Amino acid sequence: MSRISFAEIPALIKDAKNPMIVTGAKSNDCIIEQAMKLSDKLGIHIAATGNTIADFRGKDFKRCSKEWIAEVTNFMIQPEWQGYDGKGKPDMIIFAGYLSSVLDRFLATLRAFTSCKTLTLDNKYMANATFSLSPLSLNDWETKLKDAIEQI
Amino acid sequence: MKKEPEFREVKVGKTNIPLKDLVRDPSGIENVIKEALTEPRLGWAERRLQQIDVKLHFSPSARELEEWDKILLDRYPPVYHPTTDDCNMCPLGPCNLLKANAKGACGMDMNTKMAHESLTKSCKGTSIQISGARDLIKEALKRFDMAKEISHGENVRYPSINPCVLVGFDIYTIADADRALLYAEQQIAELLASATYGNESDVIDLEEKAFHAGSLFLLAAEIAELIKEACFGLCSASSKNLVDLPNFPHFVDQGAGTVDTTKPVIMFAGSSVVPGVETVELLKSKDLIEKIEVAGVGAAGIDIGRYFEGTKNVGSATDILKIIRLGLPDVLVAGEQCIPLNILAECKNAQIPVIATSNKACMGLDDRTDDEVESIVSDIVDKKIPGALVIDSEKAAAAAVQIAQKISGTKDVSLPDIEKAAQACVGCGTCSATCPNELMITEAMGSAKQGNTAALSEVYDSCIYCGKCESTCPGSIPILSLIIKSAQEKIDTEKYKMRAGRGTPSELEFRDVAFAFGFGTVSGIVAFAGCGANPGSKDDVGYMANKLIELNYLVLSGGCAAIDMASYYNDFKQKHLYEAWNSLFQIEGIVNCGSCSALSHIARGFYKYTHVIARTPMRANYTEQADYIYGKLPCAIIMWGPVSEQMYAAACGFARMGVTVVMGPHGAKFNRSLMGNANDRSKWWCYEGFTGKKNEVEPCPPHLIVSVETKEEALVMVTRLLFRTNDFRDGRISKFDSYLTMYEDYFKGLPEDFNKFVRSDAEIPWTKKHKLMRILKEKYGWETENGQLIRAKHPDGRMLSPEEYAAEYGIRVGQYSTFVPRLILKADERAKQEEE
Repeated sequence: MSRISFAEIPALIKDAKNPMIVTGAKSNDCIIEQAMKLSDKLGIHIAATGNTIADFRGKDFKRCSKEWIAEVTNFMIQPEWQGYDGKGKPDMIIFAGYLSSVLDRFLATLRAFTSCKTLTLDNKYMANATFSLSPLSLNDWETKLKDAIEQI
Repeated sequence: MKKEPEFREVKVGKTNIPLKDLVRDPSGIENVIKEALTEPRLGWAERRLQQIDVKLHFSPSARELEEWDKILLDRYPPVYHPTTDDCNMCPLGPCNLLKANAKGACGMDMNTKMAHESLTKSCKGTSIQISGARDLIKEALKRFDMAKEISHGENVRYPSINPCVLVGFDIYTIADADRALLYAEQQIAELLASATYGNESDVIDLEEKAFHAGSLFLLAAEIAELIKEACFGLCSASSKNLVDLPNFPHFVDQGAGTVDTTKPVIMFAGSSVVPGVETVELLKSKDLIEKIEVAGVGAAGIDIGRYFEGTKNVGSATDILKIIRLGLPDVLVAGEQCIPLNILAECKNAQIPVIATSNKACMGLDDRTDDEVESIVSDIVDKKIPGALVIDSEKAAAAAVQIAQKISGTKDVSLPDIEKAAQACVGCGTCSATCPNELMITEAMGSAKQGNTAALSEVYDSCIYCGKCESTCPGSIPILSLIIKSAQEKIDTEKYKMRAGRGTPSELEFRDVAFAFGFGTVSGIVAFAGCGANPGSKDDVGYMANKLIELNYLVLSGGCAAIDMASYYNDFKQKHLYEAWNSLFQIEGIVNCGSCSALSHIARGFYKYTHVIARTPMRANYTEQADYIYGKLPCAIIMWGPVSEQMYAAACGFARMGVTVVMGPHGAKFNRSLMGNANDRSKWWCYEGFTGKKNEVEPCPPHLIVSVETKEEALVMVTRLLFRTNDFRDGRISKFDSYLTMYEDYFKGLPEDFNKFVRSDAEIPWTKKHKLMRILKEKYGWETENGQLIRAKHPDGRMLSPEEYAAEYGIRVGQYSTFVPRLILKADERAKQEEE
């Protein structure tokens, strides 16, 4: 929906009242590190899909749970769902670590059937996300992502 | 005016059963109903007819089976992934459906639009099987008459289960098959009509119809298998004795490296079994069978391999562009389905002539069916035409043999020089960005520019040869060819042994294992289906199959997944998968049923369970069959790389039977899942079959069709989806053990939802009991003492004694249960039983 720059990320995340991080099977070390950092800064939950829970548990990170991307999406369209931490349904989901063509399908569901905003931190544009980045070289993307998270 | 019925009642034992109580309208089918009730081996017991409210559905429309479909779709409502914001289904469009509560001019909302797409997709997938079965019947009738007897083999007790549960009669002859297929043809037309503008408007009605199309898929697939086995000689395990089965059937060579290109090579693609059989027979009759290679890709490779041991199975359907680019075939004989639309252009570039053999995939070629073989051959060999459409299997076979002999050794095609071609790469990143699996192609091309092809060769390991990188490359670099060339040495070593498809698991094997589910010896049945459209799919599918076999699951395969797993290497046994395990439908076995139509054999196996265990009659008795499978039989399908509409239809067909389906990541692109909500307690219930008491039960299976991201997730999800409401104690222990072990191995912890599946402490695996009891106490508030359950916490918050808990949560072990109100024992029958 909207291409954003890295500079816009801090404000977008700060504006959210109850954001949630969701990490996917394609997460690399950078994503795992930055997800933990963001979670620590804001005290928000990480829904670890794919095999990423093993990475978080390997680092003894607690504010996370093993979830499934299809279930995350399904819960989001249930009116009564209160989030994995019980603090209410997230108003923004921050996704990272996905095959874009696959995540795009789940983003399409969130876009059509919920009012939740979605922000993808991956290094590719996803048309069904509310906010998405443009592709960069891997090194540039990592550097800029770290900077953006640092500023929150 | 309807004609008077031939009779109004059927006598079963001493009881007269009025026909109108069993079916909505018995006119004209009185004898079919009578046979279904009284057939000596598979008919109804008098007592059972009295116990429940029996309703039979002979050749039903989707609507007639809504009783069951609504139960499933209420528990697992569809979750859609919209493809577009707008609806363009009618001339009033486009109508934007994205905003909340938005409706189009006709009243269509986003969910309804997606349900329409779902039904259309399921119909398209099923139409392939139906028309394929019809083509096979036509071919069979060129060789036999309608009275020709057909069966899966002499050891078959249940002749044709998938058709039988719908049409209500068994198939013994081609005429019977024709009659059953006619029903499917009428139904598919009706279903497709429902998906047109101005007809069906309700999401659940549409999804019921998508289910129905799926059931028709399995019906038509079984008819296709019957014809292939009985009329065209494809091998079937049901013709063998049990002692012969561990090594039945033969192995075929699998892999691109198995083809001997010093000989002429005839390659079959798509579904082209009859031309393949004709070619083999022709080669044998001319004493050429050792001198010409018969190879197949996708369904053709599996089916022809069931007929002829010397067939070279070069790969799953997604491998076809690789095979063409390598220039392996001297002629390609193409049937229908799973063939890329650009295959003719690809073949032209590789100087490979094409013989198209299906009315459904004419490829723009001239119809030369009525011409002499010599004329077709000379026009093709002289390059006047790139190929020909020949809708005559014998003629196509004769032309293919001659063309292969003449073309062999004359092709002058080689893959481009990598370093030279890579110089045009500017590193724009389009290839990686458009690759469906986001492989690191751009970086690999960068290295190739410097003369290092190792990274490209690594890309090959995960490539599915779709060619999207190449078609989007702004510099028109033949990237796919470069990837393939970089791995030429690897390709030469792609030589594996694959067990040929063997049709249905035999009755003898099934009887052996039927009770093993209850005793916990076997945790469940997992069948692999679908195409190789996932990165590293070959290793992934093999890894999953091998892991499940090691954990005592019964493993079946069908379709291209069966091909993909052949290359998996079992390090411990130091053998590839099919050589590492026997081919029995038993523990430590792997059964390759055959091509996509052989998925019907997998469904047959599930239905047989209901009859072996519960004597549930099959004819026109779909609901009771599905109710039993869903509640009791731990069975699931993994569709790792689903691609075609066929797999969508198959998933619908299995899901309706109560069989859970796990899809690989690209399964999300089917744009619909059927997902349960474990938090909504109102959805998880079951009737005690004797009392009719509606009990809250575990959320199991949690989903009906769901996609996952990784093979590890697929394994854990499938063990989770094998929980059933009516598990026996030992079966539940076994499932728990597998679920928890797999979860801990891959996710380094215990699942958050395990407490929901605990019905009693006696069902917790011993090796994990103390740990789990402690967690139940500390995290979930249960009362335990020394590893024993004192009071359990019901989902409504009440603390209950183990006895009270067992009575109020879940179904008591071994008790008859059902999800269908009319299958609850009638009150007077219950009273009679209590008296007895």
